[in-house]
Amino acid sequence: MSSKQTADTELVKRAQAGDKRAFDLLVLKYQYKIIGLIGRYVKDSHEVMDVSQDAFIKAYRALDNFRGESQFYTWLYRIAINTAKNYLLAKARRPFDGDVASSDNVGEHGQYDQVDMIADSATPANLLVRDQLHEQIFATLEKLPIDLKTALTLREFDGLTYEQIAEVMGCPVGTVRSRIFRARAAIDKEVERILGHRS
Amino acid sequence: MYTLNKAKTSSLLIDDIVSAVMDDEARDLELQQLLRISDDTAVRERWTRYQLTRAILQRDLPTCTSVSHLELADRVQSVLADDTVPAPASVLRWLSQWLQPITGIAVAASVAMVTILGAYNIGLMDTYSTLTVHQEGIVLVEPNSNKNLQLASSAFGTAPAPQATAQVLRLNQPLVQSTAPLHWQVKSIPAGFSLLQQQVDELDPGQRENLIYSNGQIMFNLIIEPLLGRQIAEGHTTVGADLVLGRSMQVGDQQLFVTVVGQLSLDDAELMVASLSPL
Repeated sequence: MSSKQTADTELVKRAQAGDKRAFDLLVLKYQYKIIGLIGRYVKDSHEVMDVSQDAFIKAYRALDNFRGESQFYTWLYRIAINTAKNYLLAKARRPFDGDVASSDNVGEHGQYDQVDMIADSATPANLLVRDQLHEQIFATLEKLPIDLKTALTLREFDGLTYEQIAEVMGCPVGTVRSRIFRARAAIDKEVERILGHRS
Repeated sequence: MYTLNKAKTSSLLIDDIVSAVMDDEARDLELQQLLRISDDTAVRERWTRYQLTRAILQRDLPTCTSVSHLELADRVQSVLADDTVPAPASVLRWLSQWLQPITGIAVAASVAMVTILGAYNIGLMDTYSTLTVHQEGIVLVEPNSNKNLQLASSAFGTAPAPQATAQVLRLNQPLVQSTAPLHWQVKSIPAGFSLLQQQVDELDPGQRENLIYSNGQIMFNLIIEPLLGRQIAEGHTTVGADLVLGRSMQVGDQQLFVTVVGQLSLDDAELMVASLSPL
């Protein structure tokens, strides 16, 4: 695998060059994390979507300032937190004195602890679909052939690279790649079915 | 080598590429391929479902909003499609620095010359346009012509005109096929592509050759001109879906500057430039 680099780096580079499709892939990739993050600050689910949208637009406009000195997602998180904070200030719903000095705060204790309690606007319908997806994904994972299941779990739960997984499983890297995508494809069939029924 | 043709890219191949890109295990070319087909609804949905699955497996799915997973991205995309949202400033700065020294080349205009319309029923095309059969499966539509549809359709081949379908390229300016001899040839052309048009502009000294390639679905320009002692920064970037690549090179005793603009991968563009040789 020559000239391999992180997908984020390449996608950001392309987005900086004006490729909106690259930015779209980044939005699709990080939307769940950003929605979850902003949902800790903003209670109403519609407002969560509005603020999340605003955060991504601000990120796009500020892409030129991203120098790659930090990971893209930590940079994005910081924008999202500041967007949520400004939103709350503008709405005067909640005094927010904390300053987001570092993206390192993301996911840590402190500010989040103050707002976690306000953020749970899950509807019964959302929870049902979420539960269905959760149940089906893990059930499908359990039913996968052992080689596929092992490869995928080493990747998703243990964060190993393909090369490391190949070493663990004693097979070529190409085989690891194939096993992982076949495992994902099998799970995706079920996810697609559930989301399809829902729509 | 994976095919670049969206229509022919198999579902399994897409699964493989999406999966590898998710894990930062894809080759550059594969990422470019994913980007090229990422506006395809099925591909976009698949990418999103894979991310959704990862979020669930890693217990990272927020409960506070709908799992209508395309809603947010669609909204962002809609806003970004608005012209009032500026592109990152780096694009304009880089392009202005790089393209300015290339005298007489309107790269943007070259890119905009052809609008890909996709597969169309020939019988439904505008009657005031010129339909030209370029090669099997590709029909060119030129503006402001009195040639009628029937004439063009009959040229399409033996298939009855109303039922005939082809990839249709609408030209924003009349097709000009230069009769001046080319001085350069490109030996490595991406699979499925062929030379659609060649334009030669006389310079003093030398000439600029603008070669336009297409596979019926996407296209790109390759522009060859003498360097003439100029110092032109080399590099590449993307503008929207288009790659822009500039390379200065020495071929024999001639110094050239080669520009590639359009929808092709960086690898393919580099290969083409490297394969340039005198005729």
